[in-house]
Amino acid sequence: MNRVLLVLSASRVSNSCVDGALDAAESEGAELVVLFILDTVMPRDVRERMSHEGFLGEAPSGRLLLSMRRELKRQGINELTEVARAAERRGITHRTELVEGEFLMRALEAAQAEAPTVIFVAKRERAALSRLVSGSRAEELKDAATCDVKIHEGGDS
Amino acid sequence: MTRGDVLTRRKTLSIIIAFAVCVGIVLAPTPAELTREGQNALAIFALCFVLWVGNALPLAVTSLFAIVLLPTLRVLPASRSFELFGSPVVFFILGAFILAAALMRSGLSTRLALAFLRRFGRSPRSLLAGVIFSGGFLAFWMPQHAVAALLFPIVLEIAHALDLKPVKSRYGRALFLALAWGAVIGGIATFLGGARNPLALGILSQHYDMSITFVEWVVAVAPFSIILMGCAHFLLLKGFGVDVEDVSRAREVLNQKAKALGPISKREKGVGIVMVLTIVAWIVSGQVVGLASISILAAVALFVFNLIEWKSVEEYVNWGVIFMYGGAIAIATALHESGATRWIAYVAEDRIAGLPPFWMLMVFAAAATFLTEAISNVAAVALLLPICFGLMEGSGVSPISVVFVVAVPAGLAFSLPMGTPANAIAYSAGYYRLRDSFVAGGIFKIVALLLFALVVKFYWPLLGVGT
Repeated sequence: MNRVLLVLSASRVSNSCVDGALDAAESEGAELVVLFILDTVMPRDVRERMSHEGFLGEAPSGRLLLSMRRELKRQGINELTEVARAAERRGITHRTELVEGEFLMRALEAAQAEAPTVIFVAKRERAALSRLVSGSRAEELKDAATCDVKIHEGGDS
Repeated sequence: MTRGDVLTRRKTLSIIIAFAVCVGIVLAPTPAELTREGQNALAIFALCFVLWVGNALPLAVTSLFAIVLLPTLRVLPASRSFELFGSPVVFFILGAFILAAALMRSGLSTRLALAFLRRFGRSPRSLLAGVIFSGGFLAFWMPQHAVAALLFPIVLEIAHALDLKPVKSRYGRALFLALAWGAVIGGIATFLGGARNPLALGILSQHYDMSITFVEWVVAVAPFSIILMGCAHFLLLKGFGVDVEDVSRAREVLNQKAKALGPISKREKGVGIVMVLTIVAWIVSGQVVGLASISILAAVALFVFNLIEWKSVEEYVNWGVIFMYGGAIAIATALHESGATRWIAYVAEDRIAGLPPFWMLMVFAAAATFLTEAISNVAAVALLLPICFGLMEGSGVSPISVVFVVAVPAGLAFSLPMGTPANAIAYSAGYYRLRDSFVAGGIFKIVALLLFALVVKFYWPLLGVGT
């Protein structure tokens, strides 16, 4: 059975991306694998800034990190539940998975393990300068993946 | 390439550029009007600028590096360079951080935040006002970053109680921007909310042997801060609207959290009393005893009355704070004592001659408010203030006015998560997109600058601060 891989994260949620993945899975009669990546980078960055720029110690920044991770997990579960419900309504075979880690690494691991025919991913909304300097993880996924990767602009949800 | 690789590459690039610029300036021919020491001071300044902007090293490490470079490049004698770490401002900030640690450790800060929010949270509009004003009020008395971190889990629980969907809920976007903006706006009003304010005071003292009292600062800036909080509320309501009708579930959550805290503890009462007495002492005898001495005495009192343990202080305060502020003062002092700021004034004289002092101050304010979106607001003050002092020399404008027009706008970072940790914290919840904060924050920044211009033009002259 063919597979469609939909890769989401808290900062990479897009209605058009989810709809595209559902449409593709439905038309191909493929299994939809929905992966939500709990990005560890952003909470870590914020914690580091609290410490290096805000000069707050381990106790408040550690508590903040915990709050952020709990919230991201809650959002991930909610998003996966919503996509799963939409897939059920359309009779699409589906699986959902919640993983934690660096976005690109986790997405590539899933791409290798699931061997999908197509991957749907949304771009994280960022300042143009930041994208210019740091590049785009979604574009890097497209370059590294062996299958077709459909990239949607993030932030339309 | 992982994000870690990208960050490493960016940091490496920043370090290479920083050293290249520094070496380039050191090796360049010395202009006739500039001393060799001044040229080297500018080289160190440029190096710190690139490292701070590029975030290549922790801010405190860059400052520490500058302290060592100053005697190495013969800008200042080693004893002078290192003694700047002992600046009273550094100890004022240290004492303020220990007080903030006691507020957080005792739970008094959480109790105050909840009390504020419960008082306001009767309708969606008033709840939004509650988030802004509770953040703002708390940031009068403790670091704004700590306030944002403190309010973050509370605002998250409000969002959950109201079933606000990340990004989809307009009220959710407003609520999290309110969290960041409230803390940021409150941080400009006193010496406690943002350590850049006492840093500016320290640089002023090193350059001109002048000072601003606690009361003078609060009277000059707090009214502007309170008006900005009102503006923030208005703009967030107008910009995002209210898509929830009832906030009673949020009130329930706040009541439950307040109930869970139980009755006020002896420790909370003790910390509260020390805090109030400290503020009274800053107001009444700040000029006689010195702000820093009072701040450290207050920190000692916390230990004498067993209100905090040293272990807690270590858990709540990052000691890099001493290096950061000590280093920033050393760089600013070196620019002044080496004659570098006089040379900047000489070079810029032709370009700015004829510009009325008010407009020059506004240019400084605009530069500070935009620079602070890209780099730490402390770094923005440390970089801009010595230059502005140089540019204003001979213009007849009081250096005190220059301190206000640099330090206050340098705190007004509303648009980008990178501007200040408070913005980064609020953004990390995912309830608003970058474009929300960019557009709304950009509009608010312009409104704030216009209001600030009115304050400079009409309010400050009434206090004897003006152009």
